[in-house]
Amino acid sequence: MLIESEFTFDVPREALYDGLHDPEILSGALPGTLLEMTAEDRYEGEMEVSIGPVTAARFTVVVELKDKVRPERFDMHVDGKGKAGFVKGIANIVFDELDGGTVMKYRADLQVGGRVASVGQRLLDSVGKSISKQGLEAVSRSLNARLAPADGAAVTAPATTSRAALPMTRRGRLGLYLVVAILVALIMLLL
Amino acid sequence: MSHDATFTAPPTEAPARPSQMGASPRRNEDRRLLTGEALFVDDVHLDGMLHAAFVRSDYAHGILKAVDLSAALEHPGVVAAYAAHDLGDYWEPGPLLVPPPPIDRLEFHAATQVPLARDKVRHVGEPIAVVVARSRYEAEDAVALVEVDIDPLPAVADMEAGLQSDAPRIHEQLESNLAAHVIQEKGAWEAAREQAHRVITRRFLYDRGASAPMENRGVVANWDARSRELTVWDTTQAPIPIRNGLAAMLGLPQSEVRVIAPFIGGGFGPKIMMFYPEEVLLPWISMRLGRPVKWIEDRQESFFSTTQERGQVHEAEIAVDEDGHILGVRDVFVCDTGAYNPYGLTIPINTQCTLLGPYRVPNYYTEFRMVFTNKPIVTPVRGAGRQHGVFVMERLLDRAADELGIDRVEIRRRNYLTPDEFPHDHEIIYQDFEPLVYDSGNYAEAMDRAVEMIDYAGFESGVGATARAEGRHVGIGIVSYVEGTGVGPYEGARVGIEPGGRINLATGVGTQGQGHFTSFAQIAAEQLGVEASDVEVVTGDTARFGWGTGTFASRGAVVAGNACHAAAVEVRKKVLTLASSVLGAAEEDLELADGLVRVVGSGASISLGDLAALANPLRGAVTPGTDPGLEATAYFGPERGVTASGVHAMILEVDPETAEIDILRYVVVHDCGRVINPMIVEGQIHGGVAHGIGNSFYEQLVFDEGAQLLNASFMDYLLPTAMDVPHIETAHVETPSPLNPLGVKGVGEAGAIPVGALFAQAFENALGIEGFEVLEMPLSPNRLFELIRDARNARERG
Repeated sequence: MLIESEFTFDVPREALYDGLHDPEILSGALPGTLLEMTAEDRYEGEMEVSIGPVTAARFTVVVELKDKVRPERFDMHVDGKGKAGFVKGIANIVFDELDGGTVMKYRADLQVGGRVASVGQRLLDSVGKSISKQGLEAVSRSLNARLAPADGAAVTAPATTSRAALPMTRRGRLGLYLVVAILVALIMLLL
Repeated sequence: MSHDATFTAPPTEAPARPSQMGASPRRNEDRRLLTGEALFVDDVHLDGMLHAAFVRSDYAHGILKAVDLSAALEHPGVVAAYAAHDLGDYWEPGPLLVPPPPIDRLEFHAATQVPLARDKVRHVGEPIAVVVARSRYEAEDAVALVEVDIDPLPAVADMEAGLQSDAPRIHEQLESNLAAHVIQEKGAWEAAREQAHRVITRRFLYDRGASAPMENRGVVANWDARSRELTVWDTTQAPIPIRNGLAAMLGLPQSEVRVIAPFIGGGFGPKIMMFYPEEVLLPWISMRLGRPVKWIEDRQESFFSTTQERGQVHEAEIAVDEDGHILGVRDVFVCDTGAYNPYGLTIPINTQCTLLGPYRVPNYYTEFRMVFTNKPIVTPVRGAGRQHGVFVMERLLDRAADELGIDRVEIRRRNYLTPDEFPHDHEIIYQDFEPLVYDSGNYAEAMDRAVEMIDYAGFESGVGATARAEGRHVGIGIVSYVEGTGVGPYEGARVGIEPGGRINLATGVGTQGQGHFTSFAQIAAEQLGVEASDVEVVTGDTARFGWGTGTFASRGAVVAGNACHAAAVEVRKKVLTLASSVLGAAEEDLELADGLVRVVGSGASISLGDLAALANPLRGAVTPGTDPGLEATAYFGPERGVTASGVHAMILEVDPETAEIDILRYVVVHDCGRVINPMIVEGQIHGGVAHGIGNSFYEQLVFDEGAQLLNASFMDYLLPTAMDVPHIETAHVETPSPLNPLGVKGVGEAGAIPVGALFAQAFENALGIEGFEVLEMPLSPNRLFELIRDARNARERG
């Protein structure tokens, strides 16, 4: 299946690309996931999702980031397996500048199998899109809040680390979170 | 015991009294069914019974690298778990159920399903391991703990792509995905084409559907070491072949294996003697563990692990003269058999043969390639390839009628075989390995009846004109078909009279809702002068009757029915012989009525029960050579199948904006020879039409390019509901078959066969959009909408 869409952020491309590498910005949007960087640009971990009567569906996820060109693009190679099925494929993510903001275009060509495909197909497209959108909107809000001039009250303490100070192991997690967003969307369909 | 003993006895020999044949008494089985007393497989509960659940492949095609059962085995409640390597010598591919028929130049490559995947998986849902636990709940939880390592391979989802040289190969031992290649010819198509006034060419698609029985499959197996009996309750249509096969596989004598096919909630073909993995494994597990084991298929499993049907692509041509007479037909098609082909060539051969329909086709070239794909296995589903043939032929005739300006009904009439042309040899081989010879029929009469019932002549100026004036789109459709039914080899029955006067009847065929308990009872009651309700029928229990094949191919009434008749005739003879001596009257002066044998014209009589007691003396001597009791066993094996036929007509309203439909009228005129029970025949037709409506406008199994099934639930796989199935008006034409004493023909599949062709024609008639043609089945509201839009766009572009 093909998931193809785009999302516009009103932050500059560099800020978006770098900001997206901060897991704290993304953490609120994607619960239930534990991923470890096991090699340069390779992440493995487990995701657990509960949706309605399907409780704690677990997926083992391996993601590799390839063809990275900061701040323009990267590809994610996704391999997720669980009792509810599997997801395997490549997502291309491209960042374009637009009027001071950034358009993020993503195109995921995924093979989906097992119960995820056989029971959830009808909802895959629409739910996949809407979940991705919700996740990205959350990212957008966080980024905007961070980049807004701090007047002391709106921005939560402790000030987040600058991107230069981010530990290397946390970099490149945008890919992971997008993968997870897609997987979450897919798992939603188990019903 | 007799074999075809009564073959020459005309049906009119039956006693002169209100006939049981042709009546519609209340069904004997309904009290048990409606009060919940009927036994279904899931009703079987045994002490110490374990429950099995299966680990199935998520991948359509892949290398099976490892199966780790260790975590599952540690799960609470789990008793055992097995993967392919645990089966040892018991692991063997299943039997080839139908070998290829004797056709020249035929190429066939068998690859049958395996009990558990080993080395490779070939379709989604293929079983990989089985877990046995105290409860199904625990078994399912443990299934989730089985670690399966599969390296995915590219899958074959498209049957035509599967034939290309670069297609992924599904069976390594074969050179390609070609499962079979068959050509059958009659006359000389090329010459006919040369002479034709018109040649019409089209490409037709028919896609897959599920059988979707109300009751899924299920098996309970119980090995009792003390009595040395393996009892298997199985939702099979063919318990006797399953008994024979299991005995051979397990190394048991057939006498130690009892297979019971109790009440079954619908079969429709896939519950035939498949030797499904679950069917083969549960008995083995029960013997290994010494405990009873149950497995009941859940609905989602059913979408993958129960066989399916219908995927075919046809390239067809018809050659006609200027009066619409068929000069010849050429049909070349590809047929999807799924990952394995245990059922041989039955489906495509049915397609080849049924395409000829009720028509005179002097020249015919038919060729098919059967191809392996990474989809669930294909075996017959109600219609079994006949739908496709009827669709192709009826569509070609519709186009010929259009192009020649001949009325749809008229072009069919011009090509019908006439009653004086029977038996008619079509000069090709049918699924029963015999030449395709129609025994009898009266096609024009059925068409006349249907035309009259639906008021075909008055439609255009009546209903059609009114609808048009109101801006509605209402069309009429009318199509013909034949159905080869009642194929051999044979069935048997035992009929006996109990000392209490009741009649017992046992036959080997399984029953899945066909009304056997009533139809077979009527056949016996007719001979023995009792009511159908006096006859206790047992079907599908190998301990009660152990010879026969099964319920499929619309053969129950024909083959088992005539065996019941033959056995009842033998019992009647025994009754007359004994009563003649007891009552001191000549046999010719005796009549059987009301459970008595009476001397006509005198008051003397004796009840059947008293006679049965006399036939089983406890003391004294009998004449040497006398068999005890009033009981007989008989068999019937027809020389070949019999050809049923019919006409379906409908008035269909379509909303071209929403593609919603409303079937305003549905008429079936059917000829299944002599009718045993009109109510049951109508019930079969109603069920078949409902199935056909589903296959035409609702039901389609949708696979993605990776051969993943995308609609494996009733949320997404649409079955027609009571709202979608109209009142069905039926009429019977009876041309008794000369091939069996009862003169009957089968009817089980008939209702489902022509419905796609009928919908196609009615859609075109209702919409009247130039260039709008229906070349595929099934449609859906969505697909119909697309076809309408495409035709309109094409017209606007000019």
